[in-house]
Amino acid sequence: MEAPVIEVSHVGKRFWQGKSGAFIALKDVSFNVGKGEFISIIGASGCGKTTLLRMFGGLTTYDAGSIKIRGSVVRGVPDRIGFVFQAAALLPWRSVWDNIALGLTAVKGVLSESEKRSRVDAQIELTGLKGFEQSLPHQLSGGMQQRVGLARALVAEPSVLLMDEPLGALDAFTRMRLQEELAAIVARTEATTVFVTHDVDEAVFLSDRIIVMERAPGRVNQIVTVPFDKPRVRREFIGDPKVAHIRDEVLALVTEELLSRASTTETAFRT
Amino acid sequence: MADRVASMSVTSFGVADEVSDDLGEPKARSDRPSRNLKRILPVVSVLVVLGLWQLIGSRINPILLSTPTSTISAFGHMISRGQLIPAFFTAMEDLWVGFGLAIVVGIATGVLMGRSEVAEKILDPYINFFQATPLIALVPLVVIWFGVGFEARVAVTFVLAVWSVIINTFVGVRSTPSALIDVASIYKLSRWEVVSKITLPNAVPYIFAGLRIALGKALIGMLIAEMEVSVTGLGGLVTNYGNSFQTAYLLAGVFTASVVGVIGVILLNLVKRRFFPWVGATTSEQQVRF
Ligand SMILES: Nc1ncnc2c1ncn2[C@@H]1O[C@H](COP(=O)(O)OP(=O)(O)OP(=O)(O)O)[C@@H](O)[C@H]1O
Ligand SMILES: [Mg+2]
Repeated sequence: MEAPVIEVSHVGKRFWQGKSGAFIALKDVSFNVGKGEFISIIGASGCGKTTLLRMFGGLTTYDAGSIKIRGSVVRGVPDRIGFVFQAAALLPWRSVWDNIALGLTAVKGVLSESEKRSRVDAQIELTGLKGFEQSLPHQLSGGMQQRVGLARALVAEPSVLLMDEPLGALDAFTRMRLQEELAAIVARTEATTVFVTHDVDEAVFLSDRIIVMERAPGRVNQIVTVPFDKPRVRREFIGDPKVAHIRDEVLALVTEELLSRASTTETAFRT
Repeated sequence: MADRVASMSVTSFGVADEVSDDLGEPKARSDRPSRNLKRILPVVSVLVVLGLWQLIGSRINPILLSTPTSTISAFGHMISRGQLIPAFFTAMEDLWVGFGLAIVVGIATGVLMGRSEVAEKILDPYINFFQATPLIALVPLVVIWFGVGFEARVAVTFVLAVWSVIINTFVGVRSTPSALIDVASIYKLSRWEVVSKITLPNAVPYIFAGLRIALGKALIGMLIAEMEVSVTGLGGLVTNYGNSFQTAYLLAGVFTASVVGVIGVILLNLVKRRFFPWVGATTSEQQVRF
């Protein structure tokens, strides 16, 4: 079997939160992500999903264990990664086209001007933003803004794609459409993908494996495999009882944590 | 006196403009008669005050108040004598060279402070000191250093204006959302690209707000310098006519100084609309969670 693209072993992270002292955001997190694999991370708010993803992207340091991408330990921003942020994080003063082209900054010297242009144009086509090249971000809908963020992450053809709730802010309908687009794009580019989400259905539909996290301290609860071929057709997929079974399993894991937490706070209240 | 008039002309114009800027369109669709009334009210107000001025001014000693009509004829005389136009251009030159330098130096310093904590810590005491000091008190020192010519007037204008530009640029750069700084890291923008593509554009709305304030201060600096340092330009005219008690001429000079200020505000707005159309547009989005 091929070497994993991302290797996470015994990673820990604490934040100093002023007077309240150290807060353990992540504790002993370990898992691997294989080449071309689509991994989702799911878990309650505050369990360290964003922190973990930012570590892969070299935006946050870790203080225990190690993270390797393509065999080398992450120090600073790794090469050839794409990152889709929780809010689209577009430059409000740049057109859609320029925002996408920003994704090519690191490979500027490598590509000729015309190659660069055709790459951006291809992304615009792919993400369905044709006709809006010269629009400013605030002139777009939320879903279109997210697609610009996605196009910016994809334009340099990253081999690792990191996404932090890219569809979190969207309505259910747009969300489903973008899920399908995303699945198609990722399949075509064969990028290794780590996808943070709060949505169980979304995680099941898109992922090869789902990492369910727990909170305080943030750690891996369980890793659930979704053993279904891709491309997945939503209508067949949803109707499949085996899929429903996996969905229930993940949902149980997520809610179990929520419920156990609720009962502990309740007892804490009583005493 | 001059400084009060100068700043008043800038701010009063600015306020009206700010309102239309911020609301975009008239806020409420109020009914027609009252909207028309609102529109003519300022005109009526000005006409009434001018009428009162004419009425009172023509009854008392012209040294005290003069009248609108004699101010206008003084205006005409000063033009035909070839006095006003050169003074106007001297004022414009002093203002825009001093203000222009303040813009360049202020933005550069503000960006440096915004991007480097070391630079911020080093410069911070001076910024605070000069912000708190009534800089007009430094005019004699400027004369010792620069003499009484063009350089001295530019220096006074510059020194009054530059601090607002520095501070606003600094705040604008520092207020860059951390998400955009992350974007810069992920896509490996160089230090210069971070400034030119991200932090400086982010600061633009702040910079324009600073320039608005700085323009008012530059105008004061320019007039003070023309009145106290060189006795030239519009400030010089006002001083001389004041000393000879020719109030109508003095007022004509003052109103011309207002025109200089108004032109400045209009220019700033034109530049903002033409080159930075995205200023004021928002991209805020809400997160939905379970
Ligand atoms: N820079 C920081 N300083 C201090 N504490 C932090 C910092 N960043 C994150 N934390 C803490 O670490 C924990 C994990 O945060 P993180 O943003 O990774 O959560 P998350 O799982 O992404 O949550 P959400 O689903 O709400 O986005 C939180 O409790 C948060 O308070
Ligand atoms: Mg998060």
